[in-house]
This record gives sequence, C-alpha cells and structure tokens, in this order.
Amino acid sequence: MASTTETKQKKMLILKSADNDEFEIEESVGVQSETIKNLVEDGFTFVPLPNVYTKALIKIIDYLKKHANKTDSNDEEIKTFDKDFVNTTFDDLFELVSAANYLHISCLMNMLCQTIADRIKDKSPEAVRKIFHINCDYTPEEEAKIRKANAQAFEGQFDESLD
Amino acid sequence: MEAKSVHGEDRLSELPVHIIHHILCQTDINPKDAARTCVLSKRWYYCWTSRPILVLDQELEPYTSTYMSWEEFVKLVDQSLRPHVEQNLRLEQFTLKCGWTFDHRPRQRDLAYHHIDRWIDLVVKLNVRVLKIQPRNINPYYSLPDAIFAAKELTILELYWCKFEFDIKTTKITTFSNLKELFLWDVHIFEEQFQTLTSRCPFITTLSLSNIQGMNKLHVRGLVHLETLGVELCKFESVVVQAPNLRIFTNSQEFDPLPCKIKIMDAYNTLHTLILERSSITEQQFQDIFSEHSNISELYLFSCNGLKNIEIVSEKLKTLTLVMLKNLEQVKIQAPNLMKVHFEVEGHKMPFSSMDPFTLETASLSFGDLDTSSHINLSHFIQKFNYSKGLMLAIFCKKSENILIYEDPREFVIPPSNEVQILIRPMLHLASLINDLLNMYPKTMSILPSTNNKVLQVMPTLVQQTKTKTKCFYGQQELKKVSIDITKKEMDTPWHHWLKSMSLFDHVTTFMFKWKKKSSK
Repeated sequence: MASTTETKQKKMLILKSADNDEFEIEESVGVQSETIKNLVEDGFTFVPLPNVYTKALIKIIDYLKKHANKTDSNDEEIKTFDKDFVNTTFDDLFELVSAANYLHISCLMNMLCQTIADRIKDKSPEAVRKIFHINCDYTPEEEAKIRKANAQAFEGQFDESLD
Repeated sequence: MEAKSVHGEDRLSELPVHIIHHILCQTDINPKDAARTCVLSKRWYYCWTSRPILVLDQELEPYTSTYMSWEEFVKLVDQSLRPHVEQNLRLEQFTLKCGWTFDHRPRQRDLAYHHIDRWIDLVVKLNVRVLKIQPRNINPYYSLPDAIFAAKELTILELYWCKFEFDIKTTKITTFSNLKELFLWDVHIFEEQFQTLTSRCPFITTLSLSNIQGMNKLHVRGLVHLETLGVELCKFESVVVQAPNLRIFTNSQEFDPLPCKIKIMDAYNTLHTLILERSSITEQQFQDIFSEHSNISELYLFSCNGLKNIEIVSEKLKTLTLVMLKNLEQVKIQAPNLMKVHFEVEGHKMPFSSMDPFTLETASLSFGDLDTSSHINLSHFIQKFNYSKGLMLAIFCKKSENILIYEDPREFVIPPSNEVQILIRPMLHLASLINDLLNMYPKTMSILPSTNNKVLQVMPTLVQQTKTKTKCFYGQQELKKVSIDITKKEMDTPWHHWLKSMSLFDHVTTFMFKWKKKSSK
C-alpha cells in the first residue's frame, strides 16, 4: 500500500456501484474510462455508477489498475491478466460488456466483444443458437427465405460443436 | 475457454444493438460468419441488416482471388444498403472492394462503373463518415463521380485505383472540415487537382500517397494540422513539404530509385520520426534534413544507396535503424540519448567502430563476412556496452545456426563465425529476446547462466509447449521438439569443439531444436 504522504499527493476518486458500494481509486486509473474522465474534467470526485453492479465494478477496477501501469516490461504480464480476465461465464461477460460500454473503456470493450465473437466464428447457426440459448422465432419458411437471400454466407462447412 | 450461461437465458440477444454491432463489425470475425447471424432470430436479422459499418467485398475468401459474379455482388451491395436508405439509418463506414477484369468488355465495365457511381451517391446522401473505394485490377482507372465532393461528413477517405476527373475551376468541392485521414493509393490526380483537393481538407492529420500518377512534383502546403505524411512508390522529381506540425515523414521508392529532391521545410521542432526506404536521398539532403530537425528521435534508413558517410550529432535521437546501406563506409554518431539500434551490414567492414554504445539498451546487429580487423573491432564495440545495468547478450552464427547466450556478459568471446547476428537486450525483455531468437530457427542454443538463471527458468515452458497438442509457430516454421542436456555426439562438431576450446562447454546448458517448415494449406 502507498504511504499516507503519497496518498495525499495523489488525486483520488470515489466510485459508487449500483448496489451502493463505494470504491476509492486513483484519478489516473479512473480516467481510462471516458465516462469518468468527462466527470473528472467537470470537477467531480464522487462518481455514482447506477448501471454498474459491485461484482462487475470490482473486476473492472482490477482491469483499470493493471492497464494504468502499462510499460514495455510488463507487456507479457498484462496479456496473461487479460486472458484470465475473459475466461469467465457468459453471464459475467455480458455484465462486463454492458459496464464497459457504459463506462466507455474502448480497449476493454474491444477485448470483450472479441471474446464473444470468438464463440460465433466458424459455427453453424444451430450451434450458435445452442451456445447462447437463442430462441429462433422464424417459421421454417421465413428461415429458408433468409438463407436463400444470403446464400454466400451459408456456403461451406461449419463447426457444429458447442465448445 | 469455458464460458457457459448458468441460467440458460438468452442474455446475448438482450444486449443493446450497438454492442451487437460492435461484435459483428469491429472484431476480427469474418464477414461471412457475421452475416450468418441474420438467421439466428428476428432480433439478429435486425442487428445485422442495420449495422453501421458496411464492408462489401467481391472476393469470396480473402486473398484467394476468387470472386462472386458481378450480378451477385450488385445484389449484395444493394441489399446491404437498402435498410439504411429506407429507414435513413446511420452509416459510419462504407467500404467497397471489387476486383475484376473488364478490359476486353467495355460495356460491362461501364455498367460496373455506373453502379459504383450510384452507390457513392447513396452513401454520400447518408452522410457516410468513413469511405473506402477499392476497385482492383481494372484498367483504365475508375473515374470518381463529382458526388464524392459533397461528402462533407467524411473523417477518413481511402481511394485505390481511382482517377480524379474534376475541373479545378468549375467543380464545386465542399470543405471537408471533418476529414482527418486521406489515403490515395494507385490514384491518378493532376498537380493542380491535388492542390485544390488538399486546400479543401484543412484539418487532415494523416496524408498517405502511394504510386500516384499524373504528378511530377509533390508540394504539400497549407496543411497546418498534418502530422503524418507518407510518400511511397511515387516517381516524383521533387518532394517539398511545408507542414509546420509534421511529426512523421516516410518516403519509400522503388528499387533503383530515380533521383528525387526531398526538402522538408518548417516542422523544425515537431518532426520526430524520419523513415527513408530505397530513397535516392543524397548525403547533402540527408544532412540538411537531419541538422535542421533537431528533435528527430527515431531514424530509419533502409537501402539508401546514396549514403556513404553518415554523421549524426543529436541530443534527441533514441532509435536508429540502418539496414542494407550497401555503400555505407563510415557512421559517426554522437547521440547521448540513443537507446536502441538495429544495424544490418552486408560488407566486410564494421562502419560504426567509432561509436560509443555505452547508453544503448537494445541492439540488433547483423553482419556479413567481416574481415579480421573488423571482427576485432566488433569485439571491442560489443565490449563497450554498459552490461552493469542488466543487459543480456545473444550471438547467432548464421551459417552453423547455433546461438550462444550470455546472461551476464561482463566477459565473453564472439565465435569465430563469419556471419553473426548479435542481440543485446535488457533482462526485462527476456521473453521477446527468446522469441526473436527462435524466429531465426536455431539448431542449438547454449546458455551461460548468471546467478539468477532467468533463461533457464523460461525454457521448461517452451519444452512443455512442444509436448502438448498446441503448435508452436515462429515465422514460417513450426517448432517440433526441444531437447535439453544433449550429449556432445548430438551436437554440431565444430561448435562443440569451439565451446570446448574456450572452456565453455562445462558451463553452458545447451538446448537443441527440431524445426519443420509450415505446410502450405
């Protein structure tokens, strides 16, 4: 932990989650979020985040802290951190992507969307529906019509596995 | 990755539309994979068809040169644009890539041009912000319609294989006040047209010109915000740049470049990166640019054969790359803040004997067949690095494909090999050093460890990787096997003899690598 004198010198922010938990972070860590940055520029040091729940906020603060101290030498370490970060349940991923979107953290947004896209790649529509529990609301005739209109996208072999 | 939804609910489809757009358009997902999502459900159909980024490519699979028919492509583009036109949806980007050869069928070609004109007209009316038009392999050029000059919301414009046809006196051109980046590649534009066009783009920060036809001289002026300028493969007689805030200048020409006078006026304090590839630049022009722009921190010279003697006196220079300068005889460098160098020398001489490498932290040095005195000079040069700040030294003998790593190189010997490559890196960059060394496909790697033994700690991971299913690719080759503690029998004989003769053999740990060329798909 930083000594008291250092803490005094560093500008701090308080983030308040949707479930009313408060977190103190350094301003330099927080401003990686465009949303927080705009508030800081307007003079706020207390930032209520009504759309971000505590569970996601803890993870996001972790992410911001890690990425705030990016240098040449910890590049590998950050990569490993990122890999672990996205290795979670879909429910967590969706929670995080919504939070990253609200907070406007573009590098996190890219990483989370890429993680979701990786599960769609090469898959057949049937497999994608099963993986994400997507309910098909087309009639078979409607579906056939759409496939026909986009025939090129449906040419070739697809991955039917659910992993 | 194991990610499963615990409750079995479809929470993906509930995400806001623009997040789904991000997943479909701003990740590395292949457009065909993304397009298939339209069949998942009605919501996904809406998400796909309303996407704000339209990238339409006539090529069926990237880099295969297999194209869908022109009729199919027209249908695809029209179908993709329809929702935007009918519902006036936001269109962020429109990228059109088409490739065909219509040379012998002028009527089809004219018809194709007519469609492209029509699409440009539509997307300009939709206030498109990023426009990329890439008609490939066609002859003659695609003539740009005047509609493009009304695209006032553009932030990025990229044109390939297009020809500007406008009249500088009569054509009405909007002021592109949001345009930040302009790319003209394989484009035909006359000098007066170029001046008129750039005068209407007062805020551009990036200008990239490649293989421009129609102009003999390039004079960039009036672009106060210009930071990055690239001039590639253009046969200009002269390049004059007047841009007070220029930061990065790149000039590359073809092999055997024609003489081209290069003059960078202004930007005396802002220019920090200078990249010259196959440039016909003369010593005088180079010295002028370099001495006038005292803030250059990164200099990259590749195959500039007009340069024999390079003299660099700079307080700001941090990174220096000198590659394939075949007439280079002498480099004199006084740069107290230089941190990183990359030199590749092909001749028998060592052109930077007089340089003091004490401040350097990262160096890649590659030599051809050095003569004896140069080999001695090289040893002296390597000796002068400041190893006390934790630098490692790796020597790669190109012919025998052996590597010797000194973790603590206070004392070392350079193998008597004619062609060597030497890498010096801070201990902190160990992982990237090992990666770079493996990209040279060595047969063996002998490590002389220091007390903390960093290299020997990372090697077991590599051994483990090659044993598991995951393939380890480096460049064009696959690493098949890593063996430790190899016997002298398995080792290359001259290399083993040399290690023995230097009394190194008993102190080094040697790893042996087996490589396999990547099989083409």
